[in-house]
Amino acid sequence: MKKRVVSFLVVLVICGLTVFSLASANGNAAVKINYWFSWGGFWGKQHQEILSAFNKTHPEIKVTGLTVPYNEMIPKLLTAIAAGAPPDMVTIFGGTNAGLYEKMFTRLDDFVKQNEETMGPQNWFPGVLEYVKFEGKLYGLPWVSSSEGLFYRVDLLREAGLDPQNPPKYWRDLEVASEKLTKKNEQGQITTLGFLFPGDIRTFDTNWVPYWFYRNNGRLWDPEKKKMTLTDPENIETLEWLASWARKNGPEEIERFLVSAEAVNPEMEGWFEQGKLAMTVSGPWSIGHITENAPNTDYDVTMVPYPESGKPVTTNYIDAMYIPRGNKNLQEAWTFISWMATEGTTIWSTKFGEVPARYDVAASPDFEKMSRYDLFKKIAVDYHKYGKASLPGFPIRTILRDQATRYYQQVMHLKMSPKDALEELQVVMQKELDKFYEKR
Amino acid sequence: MGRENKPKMKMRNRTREAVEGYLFALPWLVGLSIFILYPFIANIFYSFTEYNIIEPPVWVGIDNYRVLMHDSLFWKSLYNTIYYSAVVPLQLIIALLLALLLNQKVKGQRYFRTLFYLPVLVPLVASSILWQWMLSPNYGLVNSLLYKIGINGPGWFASESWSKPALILMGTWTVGGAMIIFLATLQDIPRVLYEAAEMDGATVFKKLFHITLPLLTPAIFFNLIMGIIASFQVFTQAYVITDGGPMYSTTFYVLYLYNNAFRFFRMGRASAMALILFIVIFTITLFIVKTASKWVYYEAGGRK
Repeated sequence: MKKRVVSFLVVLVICGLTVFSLASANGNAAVKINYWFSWGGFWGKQHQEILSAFNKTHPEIKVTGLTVPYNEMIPKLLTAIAAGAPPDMVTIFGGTNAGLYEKMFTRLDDFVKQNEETMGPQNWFPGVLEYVKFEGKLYGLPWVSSSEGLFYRVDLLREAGLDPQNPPKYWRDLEVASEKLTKKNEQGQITTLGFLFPGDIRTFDTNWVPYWFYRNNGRLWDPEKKKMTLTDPENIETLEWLASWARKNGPEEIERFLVSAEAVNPEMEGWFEQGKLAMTVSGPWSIGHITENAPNTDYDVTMVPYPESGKPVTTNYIDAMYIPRGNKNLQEAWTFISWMATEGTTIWSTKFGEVPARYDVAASPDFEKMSRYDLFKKIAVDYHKYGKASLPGFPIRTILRDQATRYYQQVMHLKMSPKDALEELQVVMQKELDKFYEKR
Repeated sequence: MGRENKPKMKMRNRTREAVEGYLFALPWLVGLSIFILYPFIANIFYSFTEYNIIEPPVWVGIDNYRVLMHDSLFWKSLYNTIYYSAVVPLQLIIALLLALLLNQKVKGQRYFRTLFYLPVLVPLVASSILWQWMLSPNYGLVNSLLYKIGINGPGWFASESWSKPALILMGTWTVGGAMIIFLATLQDIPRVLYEAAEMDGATVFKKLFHITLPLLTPAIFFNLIMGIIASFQVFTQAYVITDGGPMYSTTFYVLYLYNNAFRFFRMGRASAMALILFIVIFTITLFIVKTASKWVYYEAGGRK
């Protein structure tokens, strides 16, 4: 009995070793690289198809993708880099602290120099590369950009006695329209909100809120002098205007409206189509959503309003691709990242109506097959010309978001004046900025 | 071999038994050291450093603690957490009442017990989304029912003053765990005590306050300590539903700790917060344990 058991175990081990060595032999034909991204569910599957397309055309490299939820991406990535086991490539939504780029990611300037024609700055829309640079050095490549327009319900504007052919152009037009379009029920609850700011009244999201200041010729910091400029008169004026919107609608009623909407859908998708939101600032991704879910929605898009003394500005917030430091397959990772930045993003952007970060991708004829290509072109190409990076190179973005949110909420809930809030925030943030540069 | 060898044999046996005991406990001891002791000691060290994971920790002494003492959001998060811990007495009362009811011999008793325990099995993220729907200010079930009887419902998670009560209300839904402990203890109370009291003409309330409650005090003691420890670590509900808002009214201590660690890359400050939390919970628990001798009765032995 004992002999039989021993023989069985020996056979099992031999089989196991054979299978393992066969698998290893097959695997040795291609360099395996790991890639992390935050698309999951339906979008994750779609993204995996792009990886399959790369693997088919690049038999010497095998990319394996892994979905890491958005909120977990940065902590997980930091831990993996610190442990010396980072993924070979990663796509991160939005920005993180530019001051950490040199610790987290591989510099790509040399790779770009070797491929100047296809990867040089002349290929990219204005400002998009600023998101992946720190102190002039390049650490990533944009996957897709963004751009925005003011989406407005043509039918609701007409009902409110406004002219849909002349949608709001300046801030004062936006105020008037918003007031006429907002409806409340007998309990005083907002049933239709005339206009909703991105960032609403809770969060000073550094991807969206700064643009209201830029439209009024303001800026939040001076990168040359490394000084915060929050208390410039234009900034106080902008924050006062934002607070006036909260005052008109009532912060508590706005909160109730937002929380009710988010309970149904955290991204508030569908509220514009249902007429609960008459005007909102959004990007081309909303066109796809409206076409799929409520194709009969009567709407149009115009440039996001700005003050008469200001200028049109649109976001160009990007999702970016990076090669983490400690990567052991640098050449393969560069081959993959550069393919993704050109061919990969073309497949994705033309399929889902994302805003391309590159001119050649934007020129793809596949975009014209999209439903409502007219609106897509307005936002992704025409308005994109007015793109400006939000706080490019700002080294402590997450700290600004934390501190600014504390004051922003107070202002939007009418508990603090904009001037006092910006003065206090200026002191706090200048201290943090000085601390960052002292350590360098 | 003889009598003089017997004590030596006994000692060798005892030593062998001890070694065997430790060997059996070794996996647990290794796990405890790696996953509890080491992180605890490491946390103390990191609390005196500035550390963003990606760069080596830099010693800053008590700077993290000093900054926290002057951080208004630190104090607000502590206040929010202490406020939320009011859920504990509420949960105990409801759990106790349910246990008393479910201890009655009625038809379908087993099904009722299962029904009241089921919410404990619902994952916290799923129940958070459920309650987000139920307490939706403009379209939720609760406010719709309140409106039918002429009450304009509050903003719940949208209101600075109602957000914590909303989470406390949500917390009372999962009293099943405490209820089971009470139920088990109730069934341990000797029937003869009730019979003797009945013979002396004791009313229902007298039996409750002079027999049931005193003999339930060990279970109350256990549930109180576990409840306090859990309530001070409230996180998931706020993370899923409110993200700390509105106006930081649901920024609980652990949520702020998490934000410091994983949103602002301040591991050192988060470690300092973790150590302070440990001291606070330890102090409260010690206080409850020390006072236990005055109010906890153990069966057939009076107070311990």
